[in-house]
Amino acid sequence: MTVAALTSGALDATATPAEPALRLRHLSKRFHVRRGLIATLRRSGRDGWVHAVQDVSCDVQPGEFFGLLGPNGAGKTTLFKMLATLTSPDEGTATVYGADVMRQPREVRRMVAPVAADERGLHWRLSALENLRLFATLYDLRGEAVGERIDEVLSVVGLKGAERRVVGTYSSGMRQRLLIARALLIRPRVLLLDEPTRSLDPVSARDFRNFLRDEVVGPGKCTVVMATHSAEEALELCDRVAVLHKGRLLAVGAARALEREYSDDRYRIRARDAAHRGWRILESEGLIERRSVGEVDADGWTSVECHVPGGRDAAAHVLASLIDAGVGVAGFDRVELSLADLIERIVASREPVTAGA
Amino acid sequence: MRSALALIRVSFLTAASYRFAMFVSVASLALQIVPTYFIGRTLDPFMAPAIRGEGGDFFGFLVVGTIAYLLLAASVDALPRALERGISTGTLELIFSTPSSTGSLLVGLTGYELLWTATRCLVVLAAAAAFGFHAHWSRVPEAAAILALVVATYFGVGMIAGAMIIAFRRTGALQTVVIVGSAMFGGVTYPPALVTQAVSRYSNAPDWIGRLVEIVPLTYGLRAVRKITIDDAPLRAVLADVGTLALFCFAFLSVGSLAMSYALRRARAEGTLSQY
Repeated sequence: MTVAALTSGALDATATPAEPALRLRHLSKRFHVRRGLIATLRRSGRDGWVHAVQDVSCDVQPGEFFGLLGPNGAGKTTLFKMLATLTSPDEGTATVYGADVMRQPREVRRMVAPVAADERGLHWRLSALENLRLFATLYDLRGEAVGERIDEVLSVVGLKGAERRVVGTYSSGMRQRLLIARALLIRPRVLLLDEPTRSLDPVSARDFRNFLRDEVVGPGKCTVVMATHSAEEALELCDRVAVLHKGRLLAVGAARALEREYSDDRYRIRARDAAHRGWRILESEGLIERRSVGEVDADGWTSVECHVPGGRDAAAHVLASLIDAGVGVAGFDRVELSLADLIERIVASREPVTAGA
Repeated sequence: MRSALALIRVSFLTAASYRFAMFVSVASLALQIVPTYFIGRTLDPFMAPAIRGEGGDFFGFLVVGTIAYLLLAASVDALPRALERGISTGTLELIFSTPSSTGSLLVGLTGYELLWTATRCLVVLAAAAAFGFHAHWSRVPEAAAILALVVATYFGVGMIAGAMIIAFRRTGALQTVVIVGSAMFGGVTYPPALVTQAVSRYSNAPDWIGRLVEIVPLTYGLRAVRKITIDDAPLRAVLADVGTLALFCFAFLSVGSLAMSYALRRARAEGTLSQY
């Protein structure tokens, strides 16, 4: 059995089909900034506050893979903790399939499975099996099916055969998988993943992403909200991403669409002669703006970065013009926007927005 | 209830993985009876008049006191220690993100420690019996019920200490003050009446120090247990002590529950449930 079957069981419950999996309305949370004794004595009564989440409104649909992007301290983890009922919001509301995180925390906890970024939270002196048995009971799973389900989730995360080993002897990747298995055990309707691949090696991270895409998320399956700093995860896995900065929601949309929106149509052209008059003609016609010209390499080629306004058609025209002008061109590649650049540009350009509300 | 049992089981499995520590814990208690026996027998002639109302056998007096002390210390310490451990390992946050009730989680976190202490008490009792401790064994169930009330009373203090761990990460000297104070004034190794007499006869200390014995719940619990198990006193002879202990129990558990509830609310509001 796959996780699809493991996570779909709860979907016939209370919520109407039109109801979003998550509905956040004007959600805010601020924390008191603690100061040392000397600082307090020097400036008493001037304690500060940090706004971890400010007026966030957003909907996440059932079965959606939703990414949370943003620099450290953007408010991603605080948002997760509020959804997992571990931190209470100061203002606004958050509902999970209609259940309010403040008024119906136990209902919310039955539906939401948080997976933290670190490997804390496991009983390291016990086996994986014992860890899973404990959480099965704490989530009030009963009957003979519990053992079967534990077997299933262990198989899905690739820990079958290692389930009787003490968790303290596991590698980081294995512990991360065990955390996922524990979350899947309860057939969550919403899976909260806080940087789940942070401690995984590149191969394990890729396998984990494939596993999420193939087994966990999708229509009729589990809704996943994932905080990530990985471009691969944001661009390849997420249906939509939200960019948080200093607690504010700055943008929400499909990752590729955001990338296109904030991309500056930059191309890297590998050319034989960077001083050829063809470049100047294109510049004078406003077809390109040369941003940087690299050194001539050992083979006599130079890398030129240009801004080519007008999208891919304009880029094709520029390429044709360069060749017509006699410039030797060995490569013409669009420079993909990095996640860091994307976030930086969104932060620089956008005012806080209310999305999907 | 299932959640509590599951947590107790996990605590047992974790403790059992430290086999040597488990063995030392039991063996040291059994060996502790040897000096207790000789001290009890040596001081018996001097102490007998003072403990006439509580069995008159000083070795038996010490055995009951030791058992009550072990239970008292575990009741006060178990919850704050479990919470501290849960916070530092990150397990606390995760168990609080499950739908299990807070009450069952708290019982589960401390249940093993209390059961293990009860087992250690049985070891003490068995070792003491081997050294000639004579109790009215048929009265042990009644004594156990009174000791359970002592445990519940001091568990209330443990809840206050646990609330301080959740709210402030430190308890200061609360547990030490309660455990040492109860041992000193509650009659673990000498009758509480001695404290009152000593204060009035041999020092210039104010009278209220002598009256501290009256605000220590252990005083009432221990006196009742000793009367029942060593003196075979009828239940009505200890009703006043048990009633007072029950009042303490109600008060301490109420304050403990309120403190714990406030601390959890505060930790959720401040986002500090998992900070360590």
